[in-house]
Amino acid sequence: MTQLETIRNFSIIAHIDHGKSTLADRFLQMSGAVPEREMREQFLDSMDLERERGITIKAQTVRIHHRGTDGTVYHLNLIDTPGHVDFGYEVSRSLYACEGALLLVDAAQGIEAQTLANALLAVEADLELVPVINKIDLPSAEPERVAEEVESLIGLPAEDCLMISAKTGEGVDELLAAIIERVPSPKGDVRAPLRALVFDSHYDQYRGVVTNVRIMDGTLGTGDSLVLMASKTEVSADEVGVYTPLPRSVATLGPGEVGYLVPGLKSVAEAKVGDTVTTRARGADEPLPGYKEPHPVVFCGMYPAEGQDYSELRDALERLHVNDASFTWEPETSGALGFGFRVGFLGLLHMEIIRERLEREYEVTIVATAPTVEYQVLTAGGDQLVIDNPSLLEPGFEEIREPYVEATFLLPAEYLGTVLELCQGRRGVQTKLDYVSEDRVELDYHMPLAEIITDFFDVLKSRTRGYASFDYEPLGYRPGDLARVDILLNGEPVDAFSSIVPKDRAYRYGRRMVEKLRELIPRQLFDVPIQAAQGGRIIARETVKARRKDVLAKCYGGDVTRKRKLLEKQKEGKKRMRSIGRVEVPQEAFISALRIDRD
Amino acid sequence: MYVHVPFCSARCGYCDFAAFEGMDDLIPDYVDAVVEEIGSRVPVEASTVFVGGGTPSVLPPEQLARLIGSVPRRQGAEVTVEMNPESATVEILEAARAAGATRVSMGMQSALPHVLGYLDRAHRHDTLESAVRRARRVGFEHLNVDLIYASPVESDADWRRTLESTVALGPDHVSAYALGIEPATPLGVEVASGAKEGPDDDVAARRLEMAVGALASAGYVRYEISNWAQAVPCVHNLRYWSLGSYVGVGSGAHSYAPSSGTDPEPIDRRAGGLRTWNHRHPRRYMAAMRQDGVAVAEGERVAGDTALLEWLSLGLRRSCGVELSHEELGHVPEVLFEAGLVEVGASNGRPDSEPQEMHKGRLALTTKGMSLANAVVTELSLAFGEC
Ligand SMILES: Nc1nc2c(ncn2[C@@H]2O[C@H](COP(=O)(O)OP(=O)(O)OP(=O)(O)O)[C@@H](O)[C@H]2O)c(=O)[nH]1
Ligand SMILES: C[S@@+](CC[C@H](N)C(=O)[O-])C[C@H]1O[C@@H](n2cnc3c(N)ncnc32)[C@H](O)[C@@H]1O
Ligand SMILES: [Mg+2]
Repeated sequence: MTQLETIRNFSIIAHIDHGKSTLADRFLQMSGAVPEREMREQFLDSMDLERERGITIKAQTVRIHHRGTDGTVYHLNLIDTPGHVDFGYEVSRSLYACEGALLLVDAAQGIEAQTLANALLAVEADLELVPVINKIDLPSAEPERVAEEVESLIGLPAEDCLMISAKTGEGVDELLAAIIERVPSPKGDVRAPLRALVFDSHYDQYRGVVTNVRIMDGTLGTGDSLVLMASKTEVSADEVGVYTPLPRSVATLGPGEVGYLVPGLKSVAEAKVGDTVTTRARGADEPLPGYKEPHPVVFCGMYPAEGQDYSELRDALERLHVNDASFTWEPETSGALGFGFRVGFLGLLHMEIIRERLEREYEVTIVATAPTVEYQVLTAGGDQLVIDNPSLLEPGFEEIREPYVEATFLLPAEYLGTVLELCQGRRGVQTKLDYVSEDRVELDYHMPLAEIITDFFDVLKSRTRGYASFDYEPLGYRPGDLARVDILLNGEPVDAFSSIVPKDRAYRYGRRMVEKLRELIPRQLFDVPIQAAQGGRIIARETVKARRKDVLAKCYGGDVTRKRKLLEKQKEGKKRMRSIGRVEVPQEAFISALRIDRD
Repeated sequence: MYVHVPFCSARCGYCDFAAFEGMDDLIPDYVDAVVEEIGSRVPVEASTVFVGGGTPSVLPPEQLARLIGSVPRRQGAEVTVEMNPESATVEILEAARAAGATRVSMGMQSALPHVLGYLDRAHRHDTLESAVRRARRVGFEHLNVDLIYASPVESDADWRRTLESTVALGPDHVSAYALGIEPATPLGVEVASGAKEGPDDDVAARRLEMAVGALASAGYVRYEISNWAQAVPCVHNLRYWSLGSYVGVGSGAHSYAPSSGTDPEPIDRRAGGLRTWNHRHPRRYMAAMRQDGVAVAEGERVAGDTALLEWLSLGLRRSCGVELSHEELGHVPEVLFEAGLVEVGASNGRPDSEPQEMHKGRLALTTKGMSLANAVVTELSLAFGEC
């Protein structure tokens, strides 16, 4: 157990790529937590996916020791968080385990949309914010200007900003001193009944569910008999420990400490992030407030690539859910794809990441349908329906409402025209245009969420060469003039290809879809008509002409082996196709057909 | 027995066979090595012999005669020698004939100069015509010409003229192949890089239909996807398609020994057999023969689904198709019939008897099915693999 006064718990928060994980590297290195020869860049980004994409997806917790100028050894518990908008839930959960947050700002880029959004989360969680200007080593760094921005946009005095380079280590000593000085030590009553917040969890192949906990009151010791208050499950503390960054078991965790608990759960479904752990004897009466349930906004169908893997996919979803409770899933059936799941996500990147993690960590191959939002439908009969699968929208409804968001952009003034044009084309309504400085603009738009879950991010990024940042908040539902467009293959509608689009775009959308599918669907033994239909009317048509030649030249000199290998390859290729009626459709058609560029 | 001659005076840009130019100084030692291999490998008399290449006609006549003469063979065996028009001299034709060759196969490819040019061929059509006349004078009744269609420089009219010239020449056998682009050839590289245009599948399909029509009306019978004969097919090639045993000698030659009996086709379609192949480069081949007296580089045992796939893909190349049991016929995917790609005939060859009443029947590709043989074979092998 550690003295409260020597503990500092803080998160590192920032816009994407402003250097959070690199700063964590310096902390790990300077405290000697990671030996020099094991050190690598963004050490805490341990998932392959994180390293490949160069981004943090999962928050990571580490405890380091630091001797302060007064000679005291402090226990610093840092949580490195992700910066991308889709992972805001990951950040907010981390904040509840802390008393302070380092708000990192790139000295060259200045304040960006997620800087604001994350700062707001920290303020709401009542944390001490320490503004830190990073990357001062860059030739294009303008730390003074950025400090002014911190003052004008976030309301923290410019002179409170620390100037550092997470890359060179410059200023990091001073930052450590500031953390000890400014971040309050945790409060908590060691004699009170145990109350520990489960702020994260993951599934470990050997130990089962591992939860990350922050002790608020009381003590948690190895072997204790415990209760998870929300799920009313009795467990025992098989192991208690801290991340150094490798897990190291300890006898007890006391108030203010952050560590992990292996509760020996039988079912992974019982581990709920936000739950409160207490002791069975003399337990706490009131659980901690817990978390708001995250609300998925993007949905897609996920189907096992081969039908028989349905139960494997279910197990994979269940286990991944332990590590990321922010996606939702429920069974659904598709005429085209068979048995699968409707899965909800916090955004498009979140969807991609979940899909890739399922495939990599659980070795299931997935066919995913196009992302969609959740619609509210008022039927002619007066029923209220919620629809997250376009094929379920019956024509003849009274009204359809779609989710809107308030989108906030921060961008250099030179890209203003480009971004205005982009938002206009996506049914956006401008609500704010502010010059936050001479050459930086803040823009607010009300936009249908459906407009930003396709290629919006990519288009924004490429048109502004990455200089515009963007964040969004849900705004509720508004009526839309929308229609369902169906795709028919060989005369049969394919539910997995149905989509809900603005009526005035239905024709163009249908045209693009059939053209794209004509490219993606290989020629078959007969002509395959591809049609787009809206309300029973065909609005576009293409044909994949029947294959006319598919034959090998002779097997000269009896070399049968090579020709046979070609046939075996063809056979494998055929197995990877989905048969829809008699049409063979490659798996990638389901997702890439819907990535159609709308501009 | 297949005897490989890997030498060519110039290599064609499309060719992916074990053929080499500028190595003629190796010929005497190479022929020695092959003669030795023949002696070491044939326990029985061959019923067919095929001397292919490369270009066997670039050999000095006495060397070609030595090769042919060293193969022990049955009375009346079919003995084919492949020749290029420009090197099919009276001397080499006579030497082949005297050594026992019964059949000559000429690489005609096309009758048109610009198509022959695209294919890197050294001859012109009149060269071929006189070579055919010489072959006949020397006494060869059985004569094949090889054609290549659908090169991008060829028009429908060009192909029609090639077909007309072929019919006018009147060989008793014709092989016609769609130009295949092999990645590891000069042409393959040019097509991949976009420097040269490749053939178009739809065009090739149309040209094949033209060939089917023209050759049929001239009295040729299509007995295999790419082969037509007036009366006598190439028995040697039929052996490959029936999965009979064969011994290949020389560099890069393949051999096959079926595991089960053949009657005349495999009795057990999944039994498969042993396939081996010799070192591909002549120097490697000769070194192996010199050191070990064996030239086999590698091999594979074919069995199970793989054997089934080979049986289907080879057997269905023939117009007579493959014999299936009543139960197997029931597993043939309906779509193949609907698309008009396969048909069922009586086992005895009488197409009029009702399939339902038969215990077994022959499944054969239709003309349309022959153009889509790969697709049919893939469908069938998946359907049969599951049952
Ligand atoms: N020059 C310079 N580059 C830096 C500095 N800090 C970070 N970087 C670079 O900035 C990029 C992003 O750094 P990360 O540490 O991955 O950023 P992050 O904030 O953790 O990013 P996310 O987790 O994806 O939100 C990397 O290429 C780092 O090398 C710095 O002080 N100076
Ligand atoms: C192995 S070659 C050699 C025969 C001989 N040297 C000649 O050129 O006539 C036998 C035949 O295969 C055919 N062939 C070879 N490569 C081909 C290809 N890439 N595409 C189509 N046919 C090909 C040609 O018709 C050729 O005549
Ligand atoms: Mg990071």
